Amino acid sequence: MAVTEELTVQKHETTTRRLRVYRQESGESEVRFDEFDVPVDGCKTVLDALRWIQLHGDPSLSLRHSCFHASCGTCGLRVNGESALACVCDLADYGDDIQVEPLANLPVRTDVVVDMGPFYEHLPEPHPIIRVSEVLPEATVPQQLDSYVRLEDCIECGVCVSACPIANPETGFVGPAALAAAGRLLEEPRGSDPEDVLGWLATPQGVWQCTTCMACVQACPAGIEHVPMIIDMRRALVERGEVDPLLQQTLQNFAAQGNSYGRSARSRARWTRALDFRIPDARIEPVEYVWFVGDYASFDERVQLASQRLARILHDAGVSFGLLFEGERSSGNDVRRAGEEGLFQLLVEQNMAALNQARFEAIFTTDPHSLNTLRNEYPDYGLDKPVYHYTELLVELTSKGTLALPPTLTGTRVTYHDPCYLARYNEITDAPRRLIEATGCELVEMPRHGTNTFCCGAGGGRIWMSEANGAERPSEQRIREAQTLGAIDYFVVSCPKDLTMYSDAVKTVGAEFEVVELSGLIERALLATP
Amino acid sequence: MATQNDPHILIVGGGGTGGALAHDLTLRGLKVTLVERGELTSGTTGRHHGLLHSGARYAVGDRESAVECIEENMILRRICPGSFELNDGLFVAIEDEDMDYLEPFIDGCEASGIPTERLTPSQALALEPNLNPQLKAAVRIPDGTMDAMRLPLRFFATAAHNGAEIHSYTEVEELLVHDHLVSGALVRDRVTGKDREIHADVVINATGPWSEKIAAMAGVDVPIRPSPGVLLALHGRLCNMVINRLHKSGDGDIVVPQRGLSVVGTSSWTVEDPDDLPVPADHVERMYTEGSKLIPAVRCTEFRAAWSAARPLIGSRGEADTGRELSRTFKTFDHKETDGVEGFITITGGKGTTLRGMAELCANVVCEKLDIDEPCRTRDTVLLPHTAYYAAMAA
Repeated sequence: MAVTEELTVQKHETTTRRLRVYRQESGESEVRFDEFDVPVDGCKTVLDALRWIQLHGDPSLSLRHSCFHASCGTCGLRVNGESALACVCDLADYGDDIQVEPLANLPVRTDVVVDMGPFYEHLPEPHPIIRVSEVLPEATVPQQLDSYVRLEDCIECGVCVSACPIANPETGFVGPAALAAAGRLLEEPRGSDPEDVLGWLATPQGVWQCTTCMACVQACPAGIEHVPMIIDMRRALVERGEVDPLLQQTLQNFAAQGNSYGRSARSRARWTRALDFRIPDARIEPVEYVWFVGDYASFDERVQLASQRLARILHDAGVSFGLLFEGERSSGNDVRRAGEEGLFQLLVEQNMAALNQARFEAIFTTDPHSLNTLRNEYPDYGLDKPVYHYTELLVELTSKGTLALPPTLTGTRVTYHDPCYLARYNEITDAPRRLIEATGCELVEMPRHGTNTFCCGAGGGRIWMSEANGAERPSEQRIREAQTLGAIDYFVVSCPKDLTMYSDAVKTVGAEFEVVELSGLIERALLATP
Repeated sequence: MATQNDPHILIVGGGGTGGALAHDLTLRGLKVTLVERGELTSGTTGRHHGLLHSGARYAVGDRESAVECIEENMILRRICPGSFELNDGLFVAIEDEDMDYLEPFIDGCEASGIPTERLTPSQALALEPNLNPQLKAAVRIPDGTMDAMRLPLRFFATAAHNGAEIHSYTEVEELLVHDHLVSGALVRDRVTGKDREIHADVVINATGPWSEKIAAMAGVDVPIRPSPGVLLALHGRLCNMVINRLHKSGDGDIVVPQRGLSVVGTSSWTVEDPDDLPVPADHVERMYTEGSKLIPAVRCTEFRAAWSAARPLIGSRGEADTGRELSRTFKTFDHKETDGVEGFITITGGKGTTLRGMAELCANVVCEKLDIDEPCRTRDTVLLPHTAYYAAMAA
């Protein structure tokens, strides 16, 4: 089974691009967008195009730039909503219309120029730019050079802070760059005291704020992997027992019962009792698919309804699938990201024991977080079966004709939220959209979608931690983003955590639309009379 | 720290030269204001390949520049600890004719005070395995690598910490000129959109290839040729040392490691307008062709960026076509002496590596004009880290 993502990057052959450029006078709240038609000839990058505007369009446009090759980090901005360095945004990768805005989460000085002061305030001291090098793999380090030195990778551009769903002035989160800098200090202290660095990381604005959504890593023009560093730093804090009290309680639940709710492991499949058919125990009867349900879809009452719906859809389509029942534990994806590596290993061991008892061809899961660790990390522990998200499975079933999805929901306008662990981590963006389209719904995209999605705020164990302050939650910002689309009927999700996060956020924000699991939309399509 | 009655110097241009000058003059007790029309280092300074010159490139044809470079190289190591990759550089002979350059090169380095070490091809390959295996000889010299923006930022940071006023996004609209006397400038704050006058005892034009434009506001000429070069950045670090071609200065004769990038430079020609710099495709292609003679992997390494930077070379129009003929040295013009205009100085030419030396020379001229007897102190003053610039601006 292969659901391939189709990259639809079109190389444009037109001779001009229309740039819509954010304009703002200092201290004024009024923002406008000026449009300029920039000839492509002679302009290769977005920065070239903006320089062209300065020279030939409007000399009053202010820009930040210095090196022109992604080394100084001054020309960060948002191009069509994505945070990037303008000097390496190739115009050929964009359509005819390109919107340029200043970096998010930093104060605007004027136009697309931001004040980097707050960025530097968050950096831990010292902040050296030289480090001992990794040498070229084939290099023989000569005796007369003890060690090569090289410049640190971080170019302090603020692109990661702009891409981060949490690092806004309201939360005070120090942001990915500062955390990566702290990670570097722990690796190579250069005069700093690791105790001080760890103490700083443990503060409420520190390392626990990260949702591990991966936006920083994907936006970083210097290839820095903030998220793995953040997880390593969390591990160091967990080892010292410096953990948020709420998270500590949840971790104890995992250790005792294998789920975040602290419910009895035996009650995991209780949601199946509402079904009028029996789901086989894959440990007893051979099945084609093991359904790895995950904690939220097993225990949360709202998500249980979605699980029951999916079970009916698959049952009616004649799919051979079973469960691990009480043998299933939390997959441990977010436990690992919360820094509890030992507990993660324990959960893997327990799940692998159950899977080894079962006879099956492949796994599907309703939980993108579980998908991620099962697909990408469990193979390290012996899992050798393919792992799919249920949306991939349903697309496969529809293309084989096993499941007939009638386009009965014409006239229904929906938007779809890509979960980070599906879209950013596993590039699964096409399957859910194909299912939505198959129902006949009109899909309207939010500005941030696909692999440039916006985090709901729950990932990386954040859902189990205390909230820092009264800052607006990412899930509420996301609902407001959906409200800019005009009237929509449904805000469609495909992740159990999203269902809980956004159902709450819709109430807080007071939006007119309903949050539905994609399986709910499919059920409605199946039930509607054609 | 300067007081109200101290002479006030207005520096126009927020590149390396302006930053170093602001630092020098502030240390000598003068009141300094610096204006830059865009971001600091947004002109030529930020765009160079990040080479801390040993001076070896100029050892044969431009001895004056070679000596300046090695002297400043050693001073910068002292006053900017932590700013350089000090992995040295290699000059590599690839073709037979390159070997003709070997002895004059070693002699020139020796005469300029640049230490050299001859390496056999196998010694050079042990240091830098990606070198062209056909190399005939190599000479090791004390080149280094810097961050083209963050090194000058340390001068700005220290100057600001010591009381200099640094105003980025502040553009000179007019110089205030009356009766052959420059007394300040009318500037526009691009952030607020407001115009204001800044009065000064001396205005210093430190605008590099834009020097002509600023000088023209005072009705004077400076013999500056904006001489751009194309540079190519590749995604991947192909060497740890700076790799130079051992022959007469030419296109694509250097590969500079910079973080995870490799920068190949450069070409050279002359233009009228330093604002409107093309990046000719044939120049980029030449970087690949010539760069891959030094390190064959240049040809197959992922493209990151190509750009042009305009050097401010000293030379009259008609004197040079490619800019290669022009010296890389620097010069201060006191327009009282050259044009009979008082209160106005242009400092230009030079290189990223010689920013401090240029500032010292210019500050000496300023002090002499104002009859101030304060020595230069920048040779031994360790600079604040670049991050201190943002802290000073926030304060």
